[in-house]
Amino acid sequence: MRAEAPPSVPTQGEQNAFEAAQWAMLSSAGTALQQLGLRAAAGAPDLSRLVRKRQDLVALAGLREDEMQSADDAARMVALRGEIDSIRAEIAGIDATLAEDFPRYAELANPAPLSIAAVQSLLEDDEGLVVVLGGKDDVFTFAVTRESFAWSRTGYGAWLLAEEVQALRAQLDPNSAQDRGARPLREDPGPRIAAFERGRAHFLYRALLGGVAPALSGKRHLFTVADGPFASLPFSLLVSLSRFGRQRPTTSTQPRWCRKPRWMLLPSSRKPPKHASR
Amino acid sequence: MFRSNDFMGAEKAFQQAQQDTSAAGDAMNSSLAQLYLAVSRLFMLQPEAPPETSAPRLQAVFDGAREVAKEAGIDVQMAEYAFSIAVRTAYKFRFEARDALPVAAEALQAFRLRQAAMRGHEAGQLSTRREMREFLEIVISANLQSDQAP
Repeated sequence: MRAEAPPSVPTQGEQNAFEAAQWAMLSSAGTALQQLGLRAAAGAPDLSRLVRKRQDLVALAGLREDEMQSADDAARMVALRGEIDSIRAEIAGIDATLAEDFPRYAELANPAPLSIAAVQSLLEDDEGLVVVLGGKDDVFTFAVTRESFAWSRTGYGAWLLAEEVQALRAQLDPNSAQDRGARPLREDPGPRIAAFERGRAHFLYRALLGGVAPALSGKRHLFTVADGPFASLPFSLLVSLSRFGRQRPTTSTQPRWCRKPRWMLLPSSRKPPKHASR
Repeated sequence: MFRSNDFMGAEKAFQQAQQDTSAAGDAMNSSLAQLYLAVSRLFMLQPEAPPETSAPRLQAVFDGAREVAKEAGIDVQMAEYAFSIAVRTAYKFRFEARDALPVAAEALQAFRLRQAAMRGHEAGQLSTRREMREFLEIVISANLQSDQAP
């Protein structure tokens, strides 16, 4: 865990895998939030007008397409097709204007995967990005820092870890305790929340971060993009050292390595901000 | 027929379809029938079939997808569809993502083009990504395995 990862140049296969993972994670929620946020933050009347018009046109095109699905009159279908093409052309015109006059908006409104090099250029020396994609047959973890790239996979699907995540979260949430407030007061009510299970936290650490941890060594700020069950996982609670085994046992039950860096969760369609506000 | 694992029946049906469409000069549907024919022939084999038997049939699936993409021209949806069939078929034959590697880069490129083509249609982009999630996971696996020893 403490070993420094040597600088690495990603292979083409790794580049492709990283890109495909981002495509899989560009979520509807992320896009919706982006669009909402952008509209609210736009602050420029021209941009707001164009964005609004574009959204209306997209909605209208969707309506016309739905109409086409149910139309049984050939003439009506041709008319609808023509109207849809015309709407699409108008959207394309707005896109061209947005790209030229508001390039930052255009970039954000059409989120596209970033290359590993592009992510690296956005990170500071003490920052890292961790992407966790929970797949059906594998959970993939990618770690990017300015100088390195690493990945790992579990060999089993996210569903197998979902229960572990849920159980770990339940140990943090008083509301999830089964006997919450239901019993009369007594002398020694005992703990209301199950004890923090270090073994479970270590298991999740090994599964999700163990393979990429060397690449993240020494980084003080870690951005995470995680989907599925891992979106709700507080990574800072994972435990890097097992209580047992060959490593020196620790008397503390507190998470170790994972608590050192600051973890920041990003929506799945966001890129890490350069000079992120902390 | 695919659903009932009747691959011999499927082979027969697609062979006929391929001949009919070819005779009619319908190159697009002929190439699609050829792709399905190749898929049928691959799945007629057991997953543990020796590579000298399965490799040519898998290659025929890849060739079939490339032919469909070529015939599709600017129809990026059809190209994406053909390559996703090839990727999924290669994976499902032995449940080895590595088997999809020969076509993974072209498949990802077809997916990129489709996403670019749907830039004005957010709902379409998103539903495509959801539908293609399994495909993307296979592509990730295949690419990551490409750097490891077989």
